[in-house]
Amino acid sequence: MESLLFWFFSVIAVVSAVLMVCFRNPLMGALSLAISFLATAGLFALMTGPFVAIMQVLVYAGAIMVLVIFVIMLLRADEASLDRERIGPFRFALGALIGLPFGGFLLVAVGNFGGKVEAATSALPPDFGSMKSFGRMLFNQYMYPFEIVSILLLVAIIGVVVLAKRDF
Amino acid sequence: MADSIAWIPGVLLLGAAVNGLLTLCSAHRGGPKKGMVIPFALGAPWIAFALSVMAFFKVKGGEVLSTSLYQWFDGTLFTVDVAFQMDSLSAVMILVVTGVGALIHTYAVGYMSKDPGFGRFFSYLNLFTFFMSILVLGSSPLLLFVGWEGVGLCSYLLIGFWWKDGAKAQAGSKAFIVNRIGDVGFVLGVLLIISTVAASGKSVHDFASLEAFATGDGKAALESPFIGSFSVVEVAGFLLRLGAFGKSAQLPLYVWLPDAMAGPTPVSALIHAATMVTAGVYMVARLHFLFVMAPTAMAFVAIVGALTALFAATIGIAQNDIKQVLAYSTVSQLGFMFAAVGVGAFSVGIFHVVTHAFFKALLFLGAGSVIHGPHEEQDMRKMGGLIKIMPITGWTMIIGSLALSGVPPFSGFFSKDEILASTLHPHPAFPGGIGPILYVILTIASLCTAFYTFRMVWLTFFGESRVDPEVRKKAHESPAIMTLPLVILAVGAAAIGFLGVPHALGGHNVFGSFVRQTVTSEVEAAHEGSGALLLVGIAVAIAILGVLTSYWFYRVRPSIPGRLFAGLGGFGRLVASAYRVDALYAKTIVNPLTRSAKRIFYEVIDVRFVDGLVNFFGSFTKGLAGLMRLFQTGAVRTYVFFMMIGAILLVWSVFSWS
Amino acid sequence: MDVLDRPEGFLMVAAVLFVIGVVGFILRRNLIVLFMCVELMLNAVNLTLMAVARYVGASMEGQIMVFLVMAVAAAETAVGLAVVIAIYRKRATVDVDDMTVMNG
Repeated sequence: MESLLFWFFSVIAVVSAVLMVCFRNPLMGALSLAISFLATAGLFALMTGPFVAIMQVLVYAGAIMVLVIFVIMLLRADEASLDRERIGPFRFALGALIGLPFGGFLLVAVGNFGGKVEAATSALPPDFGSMKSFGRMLFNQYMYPFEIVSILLLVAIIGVVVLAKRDF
Repeated sequence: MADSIAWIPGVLLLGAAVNGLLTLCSAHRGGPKKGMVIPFALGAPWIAFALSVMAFFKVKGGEVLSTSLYQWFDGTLFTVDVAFQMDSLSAVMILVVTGVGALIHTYAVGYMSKDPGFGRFFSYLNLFTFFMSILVLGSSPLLLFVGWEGVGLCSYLLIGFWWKDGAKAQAGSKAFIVNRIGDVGFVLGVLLIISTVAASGKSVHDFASLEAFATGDGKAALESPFIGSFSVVEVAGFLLRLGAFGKSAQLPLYVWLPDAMAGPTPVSALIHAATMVTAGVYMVARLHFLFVMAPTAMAFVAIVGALTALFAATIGIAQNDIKQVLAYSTVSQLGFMFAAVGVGAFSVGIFHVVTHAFFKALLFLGAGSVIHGPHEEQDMRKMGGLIKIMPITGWTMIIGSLALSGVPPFSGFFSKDEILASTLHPHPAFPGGIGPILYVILTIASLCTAFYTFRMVWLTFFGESRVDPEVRKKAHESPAIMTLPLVILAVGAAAIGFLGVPHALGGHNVFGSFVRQTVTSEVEAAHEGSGALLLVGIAVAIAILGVLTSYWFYRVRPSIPGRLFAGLGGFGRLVASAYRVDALYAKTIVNPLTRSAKRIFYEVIDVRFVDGLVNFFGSFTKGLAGLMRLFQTGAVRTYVFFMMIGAILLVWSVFSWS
Repeated sequence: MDVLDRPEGFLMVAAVLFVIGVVGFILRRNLIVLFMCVELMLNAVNLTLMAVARYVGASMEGQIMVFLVMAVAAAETAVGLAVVIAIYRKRATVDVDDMTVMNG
C-alpha cells in the first residue's frame, strides 16, 4: 500500500516537473510546479516527516508558488515572452543531450548508494519526525541557525521594499 | 668619560648631524640661515682640535689612550669592538686632521659664503672630518676601513658638490670608482690577515694584538707560502698597498685626483691634499709590522712611489690651471711619502705627511683666494702681477712654495731631505741595490718640484698683469676670515719642520722619535757625518737650482718656455696632456667595460631577461584573462552548464573515494 | 524488498527532479521559469536531505536543515522576484538572452 503511494507521488512529481519545463506559458508551468511540490510533500510524509511535509505544502506549494503566480500575472509575462520562445524538437534534442548523460550518471551513482552506505532502518526512535521532537531540536540545538534565518527573512523583506520602491 | 677620546669623533658627528638636519628641514626655503650653520660648522672641528691637543699631551707623556664604546659584532671567528685608541702615530694624525681641518673650515666660511649650498657643504665637510677621525683613531683594521670608506663617500659628495655641472658630477663618480678598485685590494688584504689570525685560533683584531701576533706566535703562519713562493704577508701587503695606491692617488690609480679639483677649493685643500689622500701612508705606517715582513712588497711600493713622484712632477710643469699644478704636485708629493714608507722609514713618511698638510693646504687655500680674487679664473696665463692686489695671499703662498720646493729652513726641506737620505739608508729588510736608484729618481723629481712650484709663483704673482682689465677692476684681497687661516698655515709651513731637524744638522729629530714610540719596527736611520751633510747640500742645491731655473725661464727670458715647448714637439704635447693616461684608460679599460656592460647587462640581461620577465608576466596575465573572458558569456545558462559539470565532478569524487 | 526500506528510490526521484531542473534552466529563457527551475532543484535537494536523514543518519537534523532551506528559499524567491519586476520595468522583457550586458 505504502510503496504504491511512493510510486504514485514519484510519478506525479517527475511528470509535473517535466511539464513545468515544457509549458511555453509560465503560468501553466507554475501550476504544474505547484503540483510537483505537493507530490514531494507526499514523499516527505512517507519518510516519517509529517511536519516538514506540512511546511512543504504551506510554504512551497502555498506561499512561494502564489508569489510566483502573482508576479507572472503582474508582468503579463505570458503575453510578453510567448511570442518569442519556441519549444521545438531542437530544444528537446538538446535537453536530452544534456539531461540523459547527467541523469544517467546521477542515477548510477545513487543506485550504488546501498553498496557504499549501510541503511539504518530498524533503529528509528519512536517519536521520529513528530512535531514535538522537531520543535525540541529546533529550539535547543538549532536555535542560532533558526534566529539567523529569521533575520535573513527580515533583511529580505527590507530588500524587497527597497527594490520595489526604487525607480531604476 | 668626559676626557674620552671618543668625544673627538663624537663632536664632529654632532656637527655633521645638526648641519645635515638643518639643511634637510629648511630645504623648502633654500637652505638654513648661515648664522645657524656657522656655530656648529666651526664649533665641531675647533672643539675636536682642542680635545685632540689635550689628548696629545697625555700621549706625549708616553700614555696610550684607548676607549671602547661597544662590541660591534661577535663572530665565531673574530670579535670587533667599536674602540678608539690614540698612540703617538694617531696623535700626530688627529692633530693634523682637526687642526688643519679647523683652519680650512674657517676659511671655507668665507669662501662658500655666497653659495646656496652652504649648509649642505658644511654638513659634508664635518662628516668628512668625522670619518677621518674614525680612520686615524680606530683601533682595528675594520674600524679603519669604516673611516676609509666614509672619507671616500664624503670625497665623492664634495667633488660633485656642484653636481648640476655634469663634468663635476662625473669627476666625483670617477674618484669613487677608481677608489673602489683600490678598496677591493684593501678588503682582500684585511680578510686575508683576519683569516690567517682566525686559522691560528686567535680572535682579537686590534692593532696592538695584531702586532703581537705578527711578531710573536703568528710569524710562521704569516710567512708561510700562499701564492707560489710569495708568503701570506707578501700577498696581504701587496693587496693592502693596492688600497693605499687608490686612496693616495699613486700610479696607476692616480687619475681621479686631478679631476677631483672640480670640487670647491677648501675641499681640495682638506681632502685632496692635507688629509684623506695621506690615509694610505697612514695605513702603511699603522701596519708597519706587517710590511717589514714583506720585502718584495716594500720594494714594490717604494718604486711605485718614486716613479709616481717623478711622473706627476713632470706633468705639473706643463699645466696651466693653477689647481691642476697643485693636484699633480700632490700626487708627486704622495709619491715621496710612499717612497719613504716603502724603504721602511715610516716616521719620515709621516713627517712629510704633516709638513705637506701644512704647506699644501696653504697653497690650495691661497690658490682658492687667487681664484676668488680675479673672479673665478683658474688659468695662470690670465693672471700675473697679483702680488700687488692680494699681498697677504701672495706672500703666504710664496712661503708655501718655498716649503714645497724644499728650500731651507722651511718645513718641506727637512722632510724631503730626510726622505732622500732614507732611500740611501733603508730598513734592513729592504732589498739592497734599489735605494740609490730611488735616490736619483726622487732627486730629479725634487728638481721638477722646485721648478713647477716657482713657475706657478712667477706666473701668478709677478710680471706683467695679464688679467682682463674689466676683471682687474673687481679683483681684491680676500676677507680676513680667509686670509687669517692662510697666515696661520704659513707660520706652520715655515716652522713645523723644526720638529724634525736631523742629527746631521745638530737636531734631535723630536718628531721621529715620538712617532717611533708606536712604529716600533722602524730602525732609526743613522745618516751622520760628512756623507749626510753632503746629501743635505745636494738637496739644497737642487731646490735652489729649480727655483733659479724657473726664474730664468719665466722672469728673465720669458720666450724660452715657448721655444722649448715647440722644440720638444710631440713629447711636449704628450707631457702637457698628462701623458694621455686618461685617454689610454678610456681606450683600454673604460670603453671596453662600458661597451661590454652595454652588450651584456643592458642588451641581454636588462632588455631580454629583466624586461622580458616583466613583459612575460604582463602578457601572461593578459592571455589568461583573455582565456577567462571566453567563459564570461554573460548568459546565465552557460554558468549553469559549468555548475552542472562541477556537480558531476563533486559526486564522482565523493563516490570514488568512499 | 520494499522500496520504502531503502533510500535509493527517493534518491533516484530527487536525482531525476534535479536533472529536470538543470535542463530546464539551460533550455528556457524566461526569467520566471528559470526561477521555478531553481526552486525545483532546491526541492530535489530537500528530498535528498530527507531521505538521507531518515535512512542513513536516523536523525532529525536533516529535517531541520530542510526547514531552514525552505525559509532561505522563501527569502530568495521574494528578493529574486522583486529583481525580476525591477528588470521588467527597466527593459520591458524577462528574456535572459537579452540580458548579456556582463558579457566580457
